[in-house]
Amino acid sequence: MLLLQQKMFMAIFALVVFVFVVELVRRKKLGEEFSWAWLLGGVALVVAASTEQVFVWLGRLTGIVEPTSIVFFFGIVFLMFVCLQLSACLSDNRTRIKNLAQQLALQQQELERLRAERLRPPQQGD
Amino acid sequence: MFGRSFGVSGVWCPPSPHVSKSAEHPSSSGVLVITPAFNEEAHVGRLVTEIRQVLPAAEIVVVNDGSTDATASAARAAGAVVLSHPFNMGYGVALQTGYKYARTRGADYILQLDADGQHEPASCRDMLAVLQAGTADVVIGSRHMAAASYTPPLVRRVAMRFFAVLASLVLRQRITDPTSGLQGFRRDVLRFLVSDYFPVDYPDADVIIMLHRCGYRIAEIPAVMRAGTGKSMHSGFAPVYYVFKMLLSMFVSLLRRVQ
Repeated sequence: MLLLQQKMFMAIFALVVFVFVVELVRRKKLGEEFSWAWLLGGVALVVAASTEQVFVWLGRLTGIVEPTSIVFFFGIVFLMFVCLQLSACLSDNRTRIKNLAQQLALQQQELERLRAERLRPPQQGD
Repeated sequence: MFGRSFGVSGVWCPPSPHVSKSAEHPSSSGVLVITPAFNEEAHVGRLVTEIRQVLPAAEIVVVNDGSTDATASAARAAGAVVLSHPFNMGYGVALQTGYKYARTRGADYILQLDADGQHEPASCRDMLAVLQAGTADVVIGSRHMAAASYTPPLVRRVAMRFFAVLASLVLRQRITDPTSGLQGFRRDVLRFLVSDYFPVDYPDADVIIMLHRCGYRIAEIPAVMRAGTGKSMHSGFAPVYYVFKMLLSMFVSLLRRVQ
């Protein structure tokens, strides 16, 4: 089982993460849509630190014997999930930027065409 | 055919993008030639003039992909319509900007060729003839069907051959040069090309497979190709990524459900 010192450290770390994330959201430095995963991670750490049964159950589920290894394993899984979410978000934003830049190029050309038409001297039949 | 069967939410072939009739300014001849260009001030003017000689009535569009030289003014001076990206976004994005412009212009036939002098403008006439005959929706200019074409380096030749075999297997039709940038399309194909399903990251053999899966008829014609001006996009780590991306893109396009 985890030592008391380890549990204390996990709980304090989770609290720091929680306060830091809430403060970032309050200052509008972090969007609510990205904050939930970090807050969830913090809550999971607090639950893991306070309930021994979680490690027993997770140990049976995964076959991992050492509680600290369980913490590391799920920590890595959590970080991979966050990275994947950010990659998906980045891809989405890249498509949006591409579409915006293309729209800008098309509208700029349209503006040039209209400007040229306006400056063109009137011809017979116009 | 794609135009009649697709557009249902949840399937991969795109719904028709909304283009209002008032936004269309019909292209005079119905033929539009797209040339993506990045820092090609030395060649682009001559290329536009050569295309004009081959297809006098066609609208020629140079997509200036964030060039830092005088590409845009050289193209404009030669009589081309210039679409300028605010920053460099790559060959595929530049092509798609041209497709989007073709869509707003209501062009019937869209031809594309590279600005680096690799493609012979004379090929445009042959590609257009195939499209106008109505025997194909997509036409590819193949360097392997023309005897006098420039021969690329060995590694590129192997990769090209590999993707040609893969594309031929999927299409059940002999495709000799699916990586060719010299291509032509009928108007209906724009529906796919302007959508977010178009792979702007190295559009290549995967596009041919996607178009085939969408039900378009694909044909190849012989086209003489010269050596480009040397600014290959396939340098450094890029070839490895290119092969990976192409395989993944082909694989997922085969997994997507087509209705």
